[in-house]
Amino acid sequence: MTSEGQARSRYGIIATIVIVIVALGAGMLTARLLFKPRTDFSELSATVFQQPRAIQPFALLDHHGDAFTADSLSGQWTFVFFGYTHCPDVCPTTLSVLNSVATRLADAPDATRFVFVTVDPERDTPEVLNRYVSYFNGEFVGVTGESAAIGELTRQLGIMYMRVEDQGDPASYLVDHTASILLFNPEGHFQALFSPPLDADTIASEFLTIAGAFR
Amino acid sequence: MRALTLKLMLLACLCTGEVWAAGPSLAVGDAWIREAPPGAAVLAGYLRLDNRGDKALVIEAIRSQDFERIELHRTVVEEGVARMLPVDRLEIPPRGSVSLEPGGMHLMLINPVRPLHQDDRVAFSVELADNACQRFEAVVKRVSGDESLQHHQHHHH
Repeated sequence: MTSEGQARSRYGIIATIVIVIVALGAGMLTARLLFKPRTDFSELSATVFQQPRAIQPFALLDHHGDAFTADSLSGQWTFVFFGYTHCPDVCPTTLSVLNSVATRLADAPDATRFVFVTVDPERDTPEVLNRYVSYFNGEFVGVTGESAAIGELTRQLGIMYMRVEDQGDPASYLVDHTASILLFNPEGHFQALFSPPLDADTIASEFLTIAGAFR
Repeated sequence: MRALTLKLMLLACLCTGEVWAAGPSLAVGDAWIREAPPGAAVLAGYLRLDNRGDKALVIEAIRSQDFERIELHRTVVEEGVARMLPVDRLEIPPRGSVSLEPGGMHLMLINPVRPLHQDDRVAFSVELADNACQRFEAVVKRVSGDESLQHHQHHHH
């Protein structure tokens, strides 16, 4: 065998090794993309749906009086809390917690938005909500609308609320309501639920896990 | 409105002078009001009631001229639903104490007669079943989510 032939065969071996390595790498990459390990959400305190739920169309108003619809939920992650402005304890506490979550997620790779939907549209007009949500965070969105429309949205999300009359003063009734925080993914689908007791650190870090798995 | 004003004046007269025969058994501590968004019709007040005496104390009412009405409520969360239950009778056991805290018992302060901002002070009086009366002051605090959390974790002072 000539030295030229030996060199050619050596090149052949090197070329084969390179091809094998490249093929292996490509195969592993494909496998990772195809069989992306499913994030284990069972350790989280949040309830994460493996099949996020699509939302039926609805027509509500934001705190500026502009339309707020199912489309308004898509495009970014949205935290949604249902409550009412005459609620002295639970709602201000939760909105303060959400403000802390917003601060923690300000530099997160995924954009977030925070929405407070009233379950007391009779008293919570867009103007009332405007004053209320802006106090907690200038970026928060308040949502109200027709009682029937609020009822339809809450029904499909499993949110409960019930008016409790005040015998002494009909104007100062209370409203029992679901105290959980809902998370919608950027497709506008109901993705996860944070139930009380709620704390900002847990919500922020679990959100990053959920959003990371979604990317 | 005239009737209300009269009622408030009357209430103001109820809690004056020496009311305890042998020094007060009731001590009020850590009294604060959560600053609320402008125009809020309902605020929440929190405090700790210590009974330093040997007899149980029953709270009859908590009053303030700065609110139209005050109710005592307890927040309970059952199956994810938060409800506020009125507390009709609040008893503080001998040498015991009862805390009103976020997420638990609270004073529901209805229709403030003046805007209340951070660091404002509000005068209250606690009326007991034996007609004794104790005055205290609560400070208005602006609470961030982190602070309300800390308040939960460090409630034993």
